[in-house]
Amino acid sequence: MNVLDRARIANATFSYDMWLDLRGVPGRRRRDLRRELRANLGDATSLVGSRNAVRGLGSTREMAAAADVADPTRPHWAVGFGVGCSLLAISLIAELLATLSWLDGAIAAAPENRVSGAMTFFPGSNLAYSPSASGFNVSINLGWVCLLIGLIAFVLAARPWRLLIHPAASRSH
Amino acid sequence: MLKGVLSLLLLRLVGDRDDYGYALVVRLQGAGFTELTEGSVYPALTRLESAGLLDSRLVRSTTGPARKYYNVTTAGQSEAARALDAWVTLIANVDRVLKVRNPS
Repeated sequence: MNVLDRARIANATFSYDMWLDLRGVPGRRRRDLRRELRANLGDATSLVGSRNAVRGLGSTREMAAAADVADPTRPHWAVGFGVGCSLLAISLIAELLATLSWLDGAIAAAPENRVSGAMTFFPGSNLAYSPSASGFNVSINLGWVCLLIGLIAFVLAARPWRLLIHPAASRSH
Repeated sequence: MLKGVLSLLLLRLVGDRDDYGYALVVRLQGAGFTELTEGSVYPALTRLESAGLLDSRLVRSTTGPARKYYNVTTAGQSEAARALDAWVTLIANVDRVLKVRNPS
């Protein structure tokens, strides 16, 4: 088995593991399934080559769905982390753009004294512009809204309340 | 493939001889199911194991990682017998309908 074969097998295994994780499969079970898939792909590679071995799997997303091993009592931490980070980044970018816009306005107005303000949709934010002999000074406080958005998105996507589902109740569905 | 048939085939094959995922794929393809892919067999094995119809053990391999060999549990044997009965009934019913339409 050469490096390319190993890379193809690792890629397929990683992809399968990711979809299992997104479906809420516990870590120990994922480790078992990963190991099994790696062994099967290794055997298939020795017979039909790694390209055909991986092609035979089809979509790893559909495989993970068909395996039906999701644990309904396990929160989706990985999904929550991804969604939380994404929304945190988006809200930070939006706030930075709003900050730049406010600063453009302040610079264009060329005030003689210090001016300060806040961004409407970002409570807790604070911006200040003050002219100085060498140009101007700027003070920026982005506030807490971005973090709050990221945190709420994380909680909603991770669904930690699944921990409260009783395993016996989940099996009856 | 009809729903439940793959499970019946897997229970039957594993019942005949303990085996691991890829070997079962090869056996099924050798039996004529050439369109059957690993992508449908591996999840089916996982489902059967989760349902308690198959049990498994790791066996060291000289060519790579340890292989996961499956064997049929008592519940799996009962399920295989039930599924086989259902299959035989289905075949008989289908046959009967086809004979009515084609009496020759």
